Amino acid sequence: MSKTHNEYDAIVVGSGISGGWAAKELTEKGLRVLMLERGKNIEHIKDYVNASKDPWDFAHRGRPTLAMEEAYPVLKRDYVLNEKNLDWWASDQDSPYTEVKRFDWFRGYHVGGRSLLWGRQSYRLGPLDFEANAKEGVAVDWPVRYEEIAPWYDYVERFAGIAGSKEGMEQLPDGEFQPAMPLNCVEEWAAGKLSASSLGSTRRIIPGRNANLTQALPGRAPCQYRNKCWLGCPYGAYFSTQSSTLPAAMATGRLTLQPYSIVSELIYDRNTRKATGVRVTDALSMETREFKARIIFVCASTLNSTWLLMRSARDEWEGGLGSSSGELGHNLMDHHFRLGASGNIDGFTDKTTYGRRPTGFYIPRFQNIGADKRDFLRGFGYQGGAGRDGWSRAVAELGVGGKFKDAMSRPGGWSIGATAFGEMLPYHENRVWLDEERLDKWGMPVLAIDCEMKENEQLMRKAMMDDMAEILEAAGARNVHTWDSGYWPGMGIHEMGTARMGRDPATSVLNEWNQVWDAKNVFVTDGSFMTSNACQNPSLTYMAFTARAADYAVEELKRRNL
Amino acid sequence: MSTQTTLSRREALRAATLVLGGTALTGGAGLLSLTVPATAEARRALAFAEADFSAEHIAWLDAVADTILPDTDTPGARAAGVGPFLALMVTDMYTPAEQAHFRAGMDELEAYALSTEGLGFMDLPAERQLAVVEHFDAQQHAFEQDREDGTMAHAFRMLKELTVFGYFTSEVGCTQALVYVAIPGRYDPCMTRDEDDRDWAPH
Ligand SMILES: Cc1cc2nc3c(=O)[nH]c(=O)nc-3n(C[C@H](O)[C@H](O)[C@H](O)COP(=O)(O)OP(=O)(O)OC[C@H]3O[C@@H](n4cnc5c(N)ncnc54)[C@H](O)[C@@H]3O)c2cc1C
Ligand code: SF4
Repeated sequence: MSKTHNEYDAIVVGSGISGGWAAKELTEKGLRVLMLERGKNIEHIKDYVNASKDPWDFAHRGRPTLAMEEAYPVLKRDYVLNEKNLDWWASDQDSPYTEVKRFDWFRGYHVGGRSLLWGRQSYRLGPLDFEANAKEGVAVDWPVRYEEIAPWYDYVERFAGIAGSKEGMEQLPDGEFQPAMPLNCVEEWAAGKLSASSLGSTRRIIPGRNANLTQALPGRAPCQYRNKCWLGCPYGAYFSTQSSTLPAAMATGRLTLQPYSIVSELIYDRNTRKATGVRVTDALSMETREFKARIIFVCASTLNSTWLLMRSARDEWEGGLGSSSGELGHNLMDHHFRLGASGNIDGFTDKTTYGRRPTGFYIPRFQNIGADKRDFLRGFGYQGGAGRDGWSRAVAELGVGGKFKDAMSRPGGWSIGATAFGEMLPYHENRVWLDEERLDKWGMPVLAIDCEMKENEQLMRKAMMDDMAEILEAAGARNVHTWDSGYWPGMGIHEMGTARMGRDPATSVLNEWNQVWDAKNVFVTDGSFMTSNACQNPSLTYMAFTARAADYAVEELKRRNL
Repeated sequence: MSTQTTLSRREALRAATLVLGGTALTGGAGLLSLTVPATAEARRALAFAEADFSAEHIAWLDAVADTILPDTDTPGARAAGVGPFLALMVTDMYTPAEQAHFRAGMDELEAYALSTEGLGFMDLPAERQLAVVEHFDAQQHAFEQDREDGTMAHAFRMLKELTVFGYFTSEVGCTQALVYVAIPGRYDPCMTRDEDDRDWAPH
């Protein structure tokens, strides 16, 4: 690349959900933007090579083999290791990290990041969530309140396309929704039973809110109900960088997207107290290059962004850029889950559903709200669904032979169940740091991760099962049983924190605009900024804060403050 | 999110819990192209314990699978290619310990056929094959009721699980035993069905 092409108005590090939004907003506001992505390119539609395959086209029908498990020692710890989209997961071997305690880090290193892989559940945080730290004296106060971010939720929802229903619940604010993907008849019936029960005033079954279109948007068709989203959508019907933000940014003519570009550090100028650009290692050739820009958006995902900050400006601060508060790397959070309850619903044998709805139902948080006081702080919500038992029941049922086979080819009874997603408090001790002893494939010291659930989460987990059993019983289910498949931090794939925002540079890494206190032209807008993590799936919140920060950054540039 | 996915995933995870890695792989996708010789002559007991899956082993697996899920008004497991699929999955997916356990289970089933019926499984008439398979199904079902998590499943349970999975994800299973709709195009949350309507195929 020639010297004349290494200067841009803005650099965006990472092309996932956050980076895609940063690139779109900044280019649409007139900036010339370089988006640097460490992994390969995946072109919209063209590179969704498995999206239109039938189940029998996969040699192992999607299941992981021993060879895959050996190659992906971390990914194999949960369902994410599978035959169908194996190429879209980062190599555990090229990119190791040190687990002081077990931490499952499931990463996608390619253009689009995990926007191609995500479950698309999209919920706003509410007033309660932004106030919780201050009210309870936990960690530090959020420097932002719901009213300030609400218009940005509106803005990103309209563009991303979120299907959902208006419910008027303060703890889970309504948004600018497309029509919801409806509850099926059994879910609807169960929701009605629950609502009529003694629990009904606080616990409600509502349609899931998800980033799959029920109405077309420019360049994107509505969902065709195949439920194969994580293989890529040939209709562009779910929100991803590829379907949504990247085409918008490209349309401006001002975006340069550069794959295989690992940003190894931000270049810091102590005189101006700003970053002047980035140093990049070519993932294939290992060559290094530098690019300059007036502002830098760090959107490499939680942990990756903090890892990058820790590698930067070490002459100035031993702990890296943003470490002056002593909080960089600290307060790591995830959503703990993998437990809940399920049961059976009688009747409805003449009913089924048509189409594979890529979402389910949601039960918004009800604990520690109003009169519902618990022995733990914060709370949890549930994601679940009802459906007819399918052929896989044949495994556990006693039976073989022709009659058995024909019976198993017909649907069984209805089951209903849900998994809880719980908030994890931001503990200073849950943290990451550079493990200088160990280098990755590109010669960078890896991250060491030390994170665990504590008493509050353990207490919550019991309620996460018991409350669901109670709900199912009130909702008319039989044979209700609770289950807990075990959880280790990271498994929620909702890593958050490690560069929290706050009101005071002495106790936070970022200010209310996602600016690094120590370098005002550096904005960190992925989940690293989260001051607490609520219990809602977080990506919609990253979108809203990224759009807001981009707007502010451009205004500040105009005011010549950056 | 449906119970169907949860159940099948749990089975898959269970099969994968004991994985330690470090296995040299034999067989692989090539097994799928093996042709199965049809032979009617009386045979001795097959020894499964050591060898890779031979064409004979695969024919035997086909016979057992086809007894579990036989031809009815839709084709059965053999027509769906379940025998070669079992060999592939056992080779590629099970740890050495699980593979040995699975093979021992095959030996045990064959020995049981010989001792109780006087013939190897392949040479039994269909209704005697069914009796043998029913015997092992009852055994595994009882065993699984109080098996501890993290311990190995009954070998016949492993075979049955892979047979069911292999059949209902095959082209025959999806498009004939079940109803396969690649692109539904819409969602109906409450569709009326007739009692005898087949279920939707997986995707
Ligand atoms: C299976 C699954 C289900 C999920 N379900 C949901 C859900 O239902 N709802 C929800 O809200 N969230 C969900 N998530 C989480 C969601 O995917 C993430 O929150 C979201 O993608 C984060 O966006 P991001 O831009 O911060 O990071 P990512 O999307 O991970 O993108 C980061 C990008 O930065 C690149 N990068 C990293 N380091 C560097 C570097 N040094 N230089 C250059 N590039 C770099 C990476 O390669 C990557 O492309 C799910 C995730 C998974 C995997
Ligand atoms: S379910 Fe909808 S969004 Fe998902 S891949 Fe299919 S058509 Fe696309």
